[in-house]
Amino acid sequence: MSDANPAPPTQSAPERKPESALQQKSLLAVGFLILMFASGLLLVYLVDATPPMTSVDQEDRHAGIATPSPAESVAAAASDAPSARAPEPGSDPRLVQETQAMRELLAVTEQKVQTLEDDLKAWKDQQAKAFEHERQRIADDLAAIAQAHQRELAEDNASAQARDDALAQLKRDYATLNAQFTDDGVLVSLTESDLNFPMGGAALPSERSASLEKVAEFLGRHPNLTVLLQGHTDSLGNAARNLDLSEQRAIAVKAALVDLGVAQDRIRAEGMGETKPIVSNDTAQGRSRNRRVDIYLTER
Amino acid sequence: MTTQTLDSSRIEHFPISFFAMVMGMAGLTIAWEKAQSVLQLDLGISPWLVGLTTTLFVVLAGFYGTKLAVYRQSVIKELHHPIKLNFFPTISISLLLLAIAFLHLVPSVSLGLWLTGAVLHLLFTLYVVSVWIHHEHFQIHHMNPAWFIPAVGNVLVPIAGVPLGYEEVSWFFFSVGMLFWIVLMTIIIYRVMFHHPIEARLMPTLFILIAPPAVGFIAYMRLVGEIDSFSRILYYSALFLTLLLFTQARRFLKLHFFLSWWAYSFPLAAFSIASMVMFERTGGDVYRYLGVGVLTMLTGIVALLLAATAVAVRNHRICSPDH
Repeated sequence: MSDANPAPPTQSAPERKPESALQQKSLLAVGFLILMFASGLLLVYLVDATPPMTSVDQEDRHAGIATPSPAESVAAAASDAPSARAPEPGSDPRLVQETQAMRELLAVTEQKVQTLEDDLKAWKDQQAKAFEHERQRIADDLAAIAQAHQRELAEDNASAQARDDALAQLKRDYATLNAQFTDDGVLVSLTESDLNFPMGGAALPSERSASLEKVAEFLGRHPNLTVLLQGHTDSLGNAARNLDLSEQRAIAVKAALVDLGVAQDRIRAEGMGETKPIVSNDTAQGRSRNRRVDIYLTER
Repeated sequence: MTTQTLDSSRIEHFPISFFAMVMGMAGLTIAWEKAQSVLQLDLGISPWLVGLTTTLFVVLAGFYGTKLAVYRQSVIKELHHPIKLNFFPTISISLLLLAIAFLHLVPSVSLGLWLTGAVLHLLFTLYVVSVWIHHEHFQIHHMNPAWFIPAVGNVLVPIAGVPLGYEEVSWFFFSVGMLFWIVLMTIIIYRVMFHHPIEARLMPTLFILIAPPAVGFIAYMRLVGEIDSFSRILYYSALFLTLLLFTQARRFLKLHFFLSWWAYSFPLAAFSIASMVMFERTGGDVYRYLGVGVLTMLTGIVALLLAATAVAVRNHRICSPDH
């Protein structure tokens, strides 16, 4: 192409060349292109043809195909032969006898197989039934457990609820009594004005004290509580006499509570005398506050 | 003229259209990869072709890089040339084609080439189109099939892009390519019919007309996965254009060799691959024969082109100021 053409690269240059040479060159190029295209077609054709051809050439392949066909027919005939010979054993009596024996054996064997199959089937059914039964039992058990668990949960819930309710009630009740929470239990302090003991005496007035009625009522609502009654006096007078007086006053309060329906064994009464003042005994007011009966409530 | 000045001036005039060689070689490589898979044949040539194409690209990139570094002015001149401008995307197209060639050999290399090629190509396309829009000096006779090159590159993107997992990006490039194909096809037919004939040197670029529908068909098959009406329209358009151009063969063969002759190679490779893809999808044997036939013919053409290029380089007919 260009290498054959030494002319400078201007467009008019090739036109100046003799027309015939140019013609020839382009024909050559067309031929080359067609040849290259054809070689591609040939390539595809050869690739298509290759797999069945393998390495053997055409004639061998023909021979290869020609030989197997008679061989195959011979083989086919050979395989047919036994089946063709089978239906003609009638001639030999020994053979007939043997055949008969074989047939009987076959019948017996078939019978056995049938029995075994029946057994197997029965066993399978039984197994299936047993399995189903077991499955049902486990399912029932599981259901029962689940139900019991459910019930338990419900009960737990109910009792927890009840406990919570009781606690709330108790707290409310304590509040009505003006109770204080101390280390020794819940303290309800009954002052002189609540009890109205006579000066130096331990007898409660005949009309019921409202405060005591409230306490009795409270104890009636909470039977699990026990009561410790502690009598206290002021510091005036003889200490031994004061101790005695405080105990008697506590006992009097106990008697009043028992009268109001509180069980006797729930109440313990003791006197502390002048040993535990809550305020100073220097003023009349202070002494009045120290003269009191403390009620400690504790859970049994 | 000393060797020194000769060499340096040749670098100065090293044409951007040299990268069309890489397009042709890469097209040949990919087509042979395809043919071997279609024919279930391993000729052992793929690694050699890939190696040769890669080397070629590296060497050409080296020359052009030198030109860019030393003769920046002449690179800028090429960038403003109404025809040579369109050859710049051949660099990114070469990268995209190498990405396809490497897809089954070294996927990680393929990904790198594809990403670089796609980004570069988008930039080139934006640049070229903005030059088209804001031109000052374009005449209708500047319009030639080389203008298709940026469009073709966009259509190429999905071929490696879809297997690499960039489907939506691939659709983007495909759409851009199709858009410009239709627009440019209209303009080129108008120019050829009503204005000056295309100058001899650029006649071979008419073959580029085959590329958009052929490459478009291959890309569309990657994107959609099955033969439908649009894929048939693309393939048969390519087939018609191929037939049309082969009926003009005598005219082409009278031409003098120019570097633009490489424009024959890539579109034929694309058409060959499209035919083989058509065979795979439809099972029609005609397509296989056609595809392989075009491929062997292309192989012959590429052999001639390589020889002609070598001779032209030796005779200083390329890399001269005139070219």
